[in-house]
Amino acid sequence: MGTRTGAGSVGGNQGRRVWLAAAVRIGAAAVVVAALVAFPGSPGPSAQTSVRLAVIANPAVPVKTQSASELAGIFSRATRTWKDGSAIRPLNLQPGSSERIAFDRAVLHLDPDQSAQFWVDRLVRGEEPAPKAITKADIVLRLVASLAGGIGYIPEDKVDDKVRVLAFIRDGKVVTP
Amino acid sequence: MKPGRIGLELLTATLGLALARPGAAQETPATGAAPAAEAPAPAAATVVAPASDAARLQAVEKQLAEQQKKLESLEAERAEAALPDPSAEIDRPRLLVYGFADMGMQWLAMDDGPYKDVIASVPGFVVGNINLYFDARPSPAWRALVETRFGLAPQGSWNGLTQVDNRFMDTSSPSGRGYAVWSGVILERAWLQWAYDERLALQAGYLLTPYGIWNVDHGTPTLISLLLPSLQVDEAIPQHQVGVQALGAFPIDNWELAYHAYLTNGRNVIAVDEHWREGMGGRLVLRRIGDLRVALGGSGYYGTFHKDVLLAHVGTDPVTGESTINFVKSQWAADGGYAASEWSVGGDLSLDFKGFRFRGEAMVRRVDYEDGKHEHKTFDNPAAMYPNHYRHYAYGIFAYRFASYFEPYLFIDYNDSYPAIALNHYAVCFSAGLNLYFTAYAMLKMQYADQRFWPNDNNLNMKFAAARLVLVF
Repeated sequence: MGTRTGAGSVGGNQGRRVWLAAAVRIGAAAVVVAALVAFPGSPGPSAQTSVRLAVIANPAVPVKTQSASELAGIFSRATRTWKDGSAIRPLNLQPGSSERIAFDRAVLHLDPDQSAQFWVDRLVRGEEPAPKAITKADIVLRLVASLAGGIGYIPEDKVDDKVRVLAFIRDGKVVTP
Repeated sequence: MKPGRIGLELLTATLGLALARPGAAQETPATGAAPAAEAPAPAAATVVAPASDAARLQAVEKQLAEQQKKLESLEAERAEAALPDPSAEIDRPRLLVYGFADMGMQWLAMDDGPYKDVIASVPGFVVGNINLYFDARPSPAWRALVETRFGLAPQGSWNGLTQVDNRFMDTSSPSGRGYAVWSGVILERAWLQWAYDERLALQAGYLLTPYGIWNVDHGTPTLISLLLPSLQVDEAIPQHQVGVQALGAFPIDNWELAYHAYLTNGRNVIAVDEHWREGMGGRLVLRRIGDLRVALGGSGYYGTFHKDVLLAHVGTDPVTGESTINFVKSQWAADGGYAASEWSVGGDLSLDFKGFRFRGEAMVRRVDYEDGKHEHKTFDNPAAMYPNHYRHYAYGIFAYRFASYFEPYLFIDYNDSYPAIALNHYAVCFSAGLNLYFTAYAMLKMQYADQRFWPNDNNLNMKFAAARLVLVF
């Protein structure tokens, strides 16, 4: 199609480029091999689906239950206000915790790698950052109980009567009470 | 409770717990220590002095349980106290600073042709992007975002026929001499926002134009490919604009419909004369959250752009006889000015399913010059002028991430009718790359590309290789 493919190049440069191209390929191959050796491989399938969680909210929020898609909207920060216009204040648990992994999988359909990438992407785009991550479920419970518009998730057995349960996460599925 | 007091109590409780633990003394490393059975009885047990060993053990266990409970409670209180006041999370002023950086190597080469000496033909190290975001939220409804990019540019870049050399003698150095490179800070975006809720927000300032995928994803950590697609290089729609924008999103089950609409100065970023630089456009995107994540978008833009040239008219004041000089705007392209209108329309598709990622965009751009105000070509034939023209762009990226760490990808980019060359040619870039993810915040990106033109009368074929270490912070 009339395309030149470098046949007219200067001889010295041509030789240097061949060596350069070879060096680049060898370097790339070395990096791949090194990475394969250095990394143990992806985390295998986990037992996160066995984690039973309760999605809890401050008792004053204007909803009784939340579906999987509604929770996805809240915890992806796409939905930021309750139906009455008040601010939603979502709280996450720490990335890497079994509860966070189970929640992200059930609600956002994201594995840990995908979840981390999802929030990095949002930061770079200038969008809303991830909900604040809290270290312990006990603290989430206390914050949600005291924080207007608060919503979070904790193991089912930690729920008390100071919060409202909007949904359960059982066997990797969102179940309304 | 104040953190200091909690810390003190926590320390006390921890010490108490350590003393109360029956085996605590054995935790001290001691080479050749006597067996536990031969160790003297703990002092606490002597103080409690129960009637029997069983009762003494029971008392210690009870004490241990109480201390453990108190410790857990204090730990929880300390963690809570370390948090800002919950309501302050969104009710008080705050400023977040975050960003990303990439550094590495690149090689760009042409075999022949008029531009080969402009393009570096040997590999070199490069400081890519050092982007800092300053994200301020003084109240729930208000937000300011400033994104700056630091770098060594314009050092070494071409300014006409010479390379920029911004080195200067650094008289502020303790030795009074030595050289430093005066490098630049590029503003990527700077806007102020008021949001009613997620359905409506208004922004004013320097906007990163919301079109397609690339200009929204925007940063090295988010983009799959290092090499820019031609629609981005050529700015089929201006990448940055000054103006106002309305945006929002409507969630519907697993779907979300988001919109952007803006009114700007258009391609001429700064308004300093009487021109009304009309630039307007928008974007609609439908997204799905779930195992299969989809984003289907459409973008449009209309605007005008121009370059004015002033001519100096020297004369004589008829009354005073003194010399006068007046500046008059040229009406002719021969003086170097131009004026045109343009529109662009594009569509884009993103697909994510498990490890598979696809990104694709297509766009058409139309430019119409005003009569007698066509733009001069700049490189190969400055005497010639750009005709009114269409340009077409498209690219697709297919990537698959496996074993968490590896993401090989293929990238194909198409464009045609670059008016500086000819209107009857097209160019295709074939590229392959590999991204290595050490974590979500650290990655190594490598890419090789071969760009080919048909016909290649101007010997513009080129090759590109790059590697960048990327860090998000």
